[in-house]
Amino acid sequence: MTPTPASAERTLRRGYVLTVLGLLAVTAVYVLAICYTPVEVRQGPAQKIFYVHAPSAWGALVAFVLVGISSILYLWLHDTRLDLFAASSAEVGIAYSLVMLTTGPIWGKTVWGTWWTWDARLTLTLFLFFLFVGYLALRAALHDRGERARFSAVVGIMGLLLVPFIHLSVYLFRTLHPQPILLKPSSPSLPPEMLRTLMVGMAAFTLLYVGFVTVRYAMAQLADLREGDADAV
Amino acid sequence: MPFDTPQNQGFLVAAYTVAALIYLGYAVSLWRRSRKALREAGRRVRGSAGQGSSRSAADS
Repeated sequence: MTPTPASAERTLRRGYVLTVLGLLAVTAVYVLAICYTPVEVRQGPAQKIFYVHAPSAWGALVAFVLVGISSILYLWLHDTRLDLFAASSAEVGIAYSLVMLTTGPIWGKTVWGTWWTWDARLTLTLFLFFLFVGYLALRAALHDRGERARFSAVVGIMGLLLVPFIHLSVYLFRTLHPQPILLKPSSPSLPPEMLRTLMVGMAAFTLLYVGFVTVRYAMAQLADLREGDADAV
Repeated sequence: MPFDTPQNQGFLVAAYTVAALIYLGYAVSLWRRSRKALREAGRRVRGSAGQGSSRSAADS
């Protein structure tokens, strides 16, 4: 189905609603984390950074995995919508990784005693962030629509290949970063109140991701229509 | 030996503030850019409608 300005506007309105709901849900996570969840005895209140850091990391990795999958599908099917979705998800993923890469060191300073350490998990995450900043820069530099979609799809797939290494880095290498709490073979290792807040956080930040991507995708559709008109002239 | 829980609320406040600023800033940026894209799309639609009507007047 070819997008029209009217259909892009409808998508945009849906995106606004989802974004507002997502922001409200994230506010609820803040309230839950501050007022409801207990303070961890050894780490103190700073442990609660985890309820924003972990769901943001989850959102960033989901965003980059979806960029990779839609890039593979674009190279196979040559459907422009997949390219537009990949570009939208990459931009939202960068916002999420910015939160992950700023809240992580703030927690690290109080618990590890250092803002940053060049261990495998942190370094690979930083590489992934730079790779997707490069992905957006590449898209901005190429003016031919087909070329831009093909080249950036290849970079998107490279990013997808990094994601499993990031997830498994805490098992494969000696690292300061804590082991996974949810995505691991055994059951989650958290007290019920903390687990509940974390799960609500995962849902809220996923909803916010969906809202952001929907708005960004509608904008990409409008820009694509504009470029199509310019090419036709 | 009793364990003293560290008093590090400042780090929590800093992290939550940074995260809120990034997410709200991105939401505002999306909203502003999308309004601009909509305005441009509206102008284009009006422009092509105008062109179409002047072309049909010339054809007749």
